[in-house]
Amino acid sequence: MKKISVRTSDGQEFELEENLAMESATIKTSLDAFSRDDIILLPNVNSWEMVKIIEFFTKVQELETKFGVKFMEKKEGRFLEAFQAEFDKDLSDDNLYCLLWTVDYLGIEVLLENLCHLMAERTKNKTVESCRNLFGVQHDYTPEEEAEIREDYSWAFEGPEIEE
Amino acid sequence: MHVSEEIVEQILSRLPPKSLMRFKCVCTLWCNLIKSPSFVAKHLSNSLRASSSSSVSILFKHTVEKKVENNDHAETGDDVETLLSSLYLCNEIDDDFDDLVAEVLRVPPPMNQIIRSSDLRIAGHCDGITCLKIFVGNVVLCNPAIKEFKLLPKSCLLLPNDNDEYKYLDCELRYYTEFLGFGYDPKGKDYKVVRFEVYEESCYWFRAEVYTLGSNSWREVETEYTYREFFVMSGYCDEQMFFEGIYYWQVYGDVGRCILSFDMGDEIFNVISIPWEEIPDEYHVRLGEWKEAIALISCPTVPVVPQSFDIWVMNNSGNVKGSWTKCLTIGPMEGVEIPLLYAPLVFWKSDELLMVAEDGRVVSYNLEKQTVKYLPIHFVGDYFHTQAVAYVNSIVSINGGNKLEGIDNTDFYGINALGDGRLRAV
Repeated sequence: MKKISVRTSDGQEFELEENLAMESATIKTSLDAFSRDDIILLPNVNSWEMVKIIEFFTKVQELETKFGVKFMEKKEGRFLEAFQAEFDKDLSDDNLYCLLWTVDYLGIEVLLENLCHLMAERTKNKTVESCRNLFGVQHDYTPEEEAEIREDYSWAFEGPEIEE
Repeated sequence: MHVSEEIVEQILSRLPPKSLMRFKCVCTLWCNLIKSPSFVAKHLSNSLRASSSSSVSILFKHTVEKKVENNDHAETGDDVETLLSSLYLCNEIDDDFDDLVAEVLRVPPPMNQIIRSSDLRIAGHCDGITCLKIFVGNVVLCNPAIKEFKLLPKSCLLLPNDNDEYKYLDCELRYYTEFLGFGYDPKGKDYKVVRFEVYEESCYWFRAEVYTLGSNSWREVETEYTYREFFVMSGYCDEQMFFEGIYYWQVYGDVGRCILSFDMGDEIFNVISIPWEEIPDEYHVRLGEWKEAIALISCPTVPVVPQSFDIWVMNNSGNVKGSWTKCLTIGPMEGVEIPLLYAPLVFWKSDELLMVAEDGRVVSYNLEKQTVKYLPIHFVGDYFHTQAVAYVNSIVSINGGNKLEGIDNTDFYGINALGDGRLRAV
């Protein structure tokens, strides 16, 4: 299997198996444009993110070999949940957010969907303020407008599950 | 560096309704996204997919003992209240439901003062919206997930004694019964409520009207059943459901109990027979949905031991409906752990059936393992007033709010009320 070399923003080099590299639409485009012997530069990707991406595909291959199921075809169920529980446990919210951006940039569809699911789990019990912080969203309501929403949906702001 | 709007949309479309309502506050962009019809549709489709594979919410209507805060019950003499409670059931859990807590739906007045179970009926649900019949003549749409309620405008039908035209008939109309159905019209792309009323006397009258959410108004529909001596209606017809564009009710026809259907798109009524010749005497049937088809569950009117139930599925050959195939016999259930089961409520998975059991408990019966798990829902009074529907958590708006104004409850609690819930038209 042909190996594709990539270099991340912090100068680290990785050798990816060709079929893994082709999962990234961005890398695939580069490969089509340039020679496969050249190193592909990924200035927007950090090495820790690349490690995580490789980890994902290694795990997928492991599970596929073990269960004999094509990962892409079996998206629901315990198969996916068990995998996801492991994948993001050492990632902070901000890490996950960065990884999400990177995977979107690289155009890796299958991992993107998983990360969106993980991000949704992280986000669902957040307060409005921590949500704004995480997504870097600018607060653009007037105090009156915000107060009105908080009053109309007061029940949505209460509950033991909402993180402080 | 921010993630794209598409990514934000993908993440948000996986969130539960409560989080989404709260996040309307994050910024105007998010608020507009959450309100947009395409997002609502995407969220609904994600929820429907999740509900068929991982988890589902159940809405119960049940009567419980009132929590006594003071002893001042001299006025009504009632110590019960009728509630709507919801329970979130997860497909993956194999353990008992001991940790589950039912959430009582906070409803606006006067719904929070309903005493008798027959005063409140769940009359259909679709895409997370539930249609409720309150007292007589009041229809409320509600989305429990976003706590929205809407009282529909009054009926456009003239009751015979309101209408001078009928005075010549010189017959005293004793009572009328009202039936409701709710669903989605895939042709007109709108949510519709259908109401039909049957007047009983020496002559029977059948009138029907349809409400559409888009127009927020009722209009009468023509049916061939007008003036026909066809139906004697039972006031207890809780056995009803919406399925793939058509609403179904169990009613009495001139050949006995049968099913009346209403196509939401074509707005046409039809009659479907029930295979009584193959069902034992002293058995009744309940309508339900099983394995993506319409099903009848036949059960004894009075519980017998050993217990067994049959499931029939409707054969769908094009437009011709009406033949049934017996698919499964549940039981005979033997086992000390299995309580006396009175009636099926709803399938929340293809192999798990919610049922009302003795002592006012609700259980989930597993068809394959033949085991029973108790749910944290109980009821008092007659079992046939307890209802359950499996609904999906959606953010589909009915343009309602959190208040209800103008519910008419005077007729019912006055001297016009008959014990079984039928209104005496005076």
